[in-house]
Parts: sequence; structure tokens; C-alpha cells
Amino acid sequence: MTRKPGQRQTGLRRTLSRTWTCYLFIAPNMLGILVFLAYPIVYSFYVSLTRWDFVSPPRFVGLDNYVRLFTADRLFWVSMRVTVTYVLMYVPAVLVAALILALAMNQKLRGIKFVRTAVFVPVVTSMVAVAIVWVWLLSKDFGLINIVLRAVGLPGVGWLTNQKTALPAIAAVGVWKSMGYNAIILFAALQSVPRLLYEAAEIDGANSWHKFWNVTIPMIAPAIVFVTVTSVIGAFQVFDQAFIMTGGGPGDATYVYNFYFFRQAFGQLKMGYASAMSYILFLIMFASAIVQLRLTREAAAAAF
Amino acid sequence: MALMRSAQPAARTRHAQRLGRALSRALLYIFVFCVALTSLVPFLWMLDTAFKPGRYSMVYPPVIFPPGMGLQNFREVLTQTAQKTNFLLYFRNTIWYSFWVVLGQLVTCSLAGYAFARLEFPGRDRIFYLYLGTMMLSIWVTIVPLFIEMHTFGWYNTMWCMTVPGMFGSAFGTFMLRQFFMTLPRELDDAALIDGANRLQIYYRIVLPLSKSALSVLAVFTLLSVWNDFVWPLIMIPDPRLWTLTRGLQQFVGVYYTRWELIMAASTMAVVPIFVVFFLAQRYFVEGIALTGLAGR
Repeated sequence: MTRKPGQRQTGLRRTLSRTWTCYLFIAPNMLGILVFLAYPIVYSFYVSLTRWDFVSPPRFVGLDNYVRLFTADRLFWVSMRVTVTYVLMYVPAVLVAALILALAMNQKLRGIKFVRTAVFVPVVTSMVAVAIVWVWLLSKDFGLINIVLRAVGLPGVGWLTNQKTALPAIAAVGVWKSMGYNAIILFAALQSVPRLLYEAAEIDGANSWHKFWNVTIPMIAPAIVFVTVTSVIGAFQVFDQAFIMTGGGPGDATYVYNFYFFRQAFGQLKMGYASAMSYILFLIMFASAIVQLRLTREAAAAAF
Repeated sequence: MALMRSAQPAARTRHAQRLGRALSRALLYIFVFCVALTSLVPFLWMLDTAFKPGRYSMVYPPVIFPPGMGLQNFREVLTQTAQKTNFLLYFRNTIWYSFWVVLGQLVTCSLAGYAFARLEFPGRDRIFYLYLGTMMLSIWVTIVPLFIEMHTFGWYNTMWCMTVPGMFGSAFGTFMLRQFFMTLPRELDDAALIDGANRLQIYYRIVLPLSKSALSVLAVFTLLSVWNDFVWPLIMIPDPRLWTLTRGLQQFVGVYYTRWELIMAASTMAVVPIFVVFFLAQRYFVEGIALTGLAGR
């Protein structure tokens, strides 16, 4: 009846060794996450509390970097304003474009596969190449866009050299590049809406508009939230376009947040100041994601 | 008579409805055609400029197929500018980095994904949620400490910083493979356990061979992210001998900023390999996006 002590020990040892095997499976991955993600996040906060030029050792200054950013740094606010404007231009545009495209994809049109492939080509291309090609397309005298405009009798515009058009232009390039990606996500959601719901709505006498507004939208709401949240987070991090297409100019028209951050961190090697900037960006992205998720949960609760 | 009168308007409305539907269908066709065109024309224009002799890239009105089209711009990019830029070298570097990162991601993410999907161990779910949490983080939040870390390790401006940090796992890859592994029937594992196989043998004899499509999705996405990445090489490798295509391309524009035919030839060389991968592996892209989209549901 009673187990021999030796037996129990082997049992325990076996359980232990089995647990260890499990940890071995995740160990390499875990190591990477700890060294290249978790530790940097924590360390970044410490660095943000120091003044550090990467030559002499870091000096602890408390919240001084944050205070200076908020109270004494004009460019911080300029770059923040530019970035928020970019987000407000980019996110609604990409959402609407992707939604229309997804709805079109969902119709059984002939040749829609070709369209799906075509809109995906910008998605797989690097932003660097995309930005460079668009600088050429948008150039004042021989760019394709102005050639087309002149052909229909409109004056050409120096899209990237004009203070008013530079930011909308780089936002448009962003929309153009990521529209296809978001459309595919919404399209996948559209395909999972049960046909039965549409039929039931038709019996109740709903027209296409009603069906769209009362069936389609609520059913794909989670995917819309997903696209919105990821687009907002992505838009706050805009850098490549501004870096390559405009260099932050003209004036400070496209002086986006990460462009300023980049200059502070790797131009002037202000490690502490830049870390404070990146932490603020992180908190903004985090907060906007939370707010959006909560708002949509309330909206969903109100709808049903 | 009364019946006829009421039937006629009904037929007319039906007719109008059919007409309306045809019209909206035509509009839809025009719309998607325009979208497809907008997506492709920039690249066609890039190709056109790249193959045209330079003097035709700056004329108005434009000539789309001028005489003398050919590979001369590509030849010039690859040979005459070699002192400052070396695209063949950037190619080799990019392929080399991509190879190691893809290999590392496949191994580490599939191991961890398997553990999260199949094994029972203390703290499993808590660790998994922590993983998911890290998906929220962006490179911009960690780039300064990583810059410092790469200096500390002595990897700054070496090939190590282009490969090692990318090789060890990602939350995205682990999550995706876990989701896929959970769809495989558990009975396979149990049967193999009864036959005396251990967990590692089950992982590479049974689970991996059944997951070729999911592994391909991860491979393709990882390849894309390494190939297209700009910020990391921009910050971590000042040495031109270690540059990737995106980094080299950006520098090239700075040097030859008026020679659009050369810039477009260089851009073409940087993007065409990815286009080829995309057309060969298109299925995996759509699958992968559907899988990542699941994260939002």
C-alpha cells in the first residue's frame, strides 16, 4: 500500500525534470525578450531620469528631463502638434479607404484577385523605397502628379516644398502604402459575417444602407477597432517618410515627433532627454489604445 | 384593367432596380480599377524612369517609351558609382542578415509556441500574457537603451547587432505559431507519447512537419521585416560595408539627388527581390494577415 520512499523521489524528480524541459522550450525566446525588450524598457525609464551625453557617466537628475520637455522646449510642442495633425489626417483616411476597398473586395467581381494583389504591392515594399519613389512622383517640375495636373489644366504644386501641402502629402503616402493591409483585415472580417443576418434584415425590409449600418458595421466592429488602434499606434511613430521625403521641412511643417527624437538621441547624443521623449510617446500610444478599446466596448454595449 | 395598371409600375420599379444595380456595379468596377491603378502606377513610373536614358526623365511633355531604353542606368549604379555605394554588397548583407534572423525566429518561436500550446508548466499562461503585452511595445521606446546595450556588448557597428537581436524570438511569431499548433489534433501527441517519444521528438518529428504553412508565413513575414527595416540599420551600423539595401538606397539618394534615372534604377533593384518573393508566396501573406487579424477579435 505505502510507496517506497525511493519511488516517490523518482516520481518527483520526473515531474521536476519535465517542468524543466518545458522551460527549456521557451528559454531561447524568453532570453531574447528579456535582453532585447524587457530590460531595455526598464532601463529606458532609468535613463530618462538622468543627464547623459554618452561620453561622461550618467548623472541622476530626477524628473528634470520631463519638466524641461513640457515647460521649456518649443520644438517638443511643435513636433507633438505636427504628429497629432498627422495622426488626425492619416487614421480616418486609411480607415475609410480600407473599408471601402474591403467592401468592394467582398463583392464577387471578376478580376478582384488582381486588385487584391495590386493593393498589396505597396504593403510589401519598404517605406524607404516607397518614399523615394513618391519624392520623384511629387516633384514640382517633372513629377508624374504635376504632369497629370497640368494635362487637365491645373497648376503644378511643389507638394513637398510647400508648407501647406507637405504634411498632407506624406500622410497620403502613408495611406497609400498601408491601405491594402488594413483592407485585407477588414475583408477577412466581412467574410465571416453570416449571410443569414443579411437575409433576416431583408425580410424585415432593410435596404442596402440599413444592412450596411445595422448589420455589417456592428459585426465587423472588432476588426474596425483593431485597424483603428494599430493605425493610431503606427501613425504616432511616423518617421521614415519625414526623414526621407522632407527632412522635417519645409520650415517645421513635417517635423514629426520621432524625427525630433532621432535628432536628440543620435544627433546630439542626449540619451536621458531622448529616453524621456520615448517614454512620453509610449504613454501616449498606450493611453490612446486603452481609450479606444474602452469607447468601443461602451459603444458595443449600447448597440446590443 | 386595375390589375394591369398596378403591375406596370411594379415592373418599372423592378426595371429601375436592375438598372440601378448594374450602374452601382459599374461604379464599383471603376472604383476598384482606379485603386489598383493607383497602387501600381508609381512602380510602373519607377520602372519607366529606371529604363529610360537620363535625359528623358526630365522633359515635358513626358516620353514614356523613348529610343535607347535599356539597362544602362542599372549598369551605372552597379559599376561607376562603386566607390561610394556598392549595391551588390548591400544585397549580400541583406540576404545574410535575413537568413540568420529568419532561421533564428523559426527555431525559437516554434519551440516556445509549442510549449505554450501543448505543455503544462507553472506560470504558463501568465508568461504568455506578458508575451502578448510586449507586442504593444515599439522599437522607438527601446531604441535608446538598445543603442547603449549594443555598445556594452561590443556589437555596435558589427554584423552581430544586425543578426543576434532579431534571432531570439518575437511575441508576434510565438503567438502566431501557438495559435496554429493549437489547431493540430492532440491525439497525435498522445499516440507518440505512448510509443515512447519524448517532447522534443514530438516537436520536430510530428508538429513541425505538419506546420509547414504556418512556418512559411512566419518566414515570409520575418524576411519582409528584415529586408524593409530602416531605423535599426540607420542607427546601429554607420559602416557602409555593413549596410543593408534600404540604408544604402537612402544614402544613394543623398549623393545622386538630381539623377532620378539612377535613383529609380537603384530603387528597382531594392524592391524587385521582394516583389518576386511576394508573387511566389502570396498565399502566405494573406493567411498571415488573417492570422494576425485574429489578435483583434
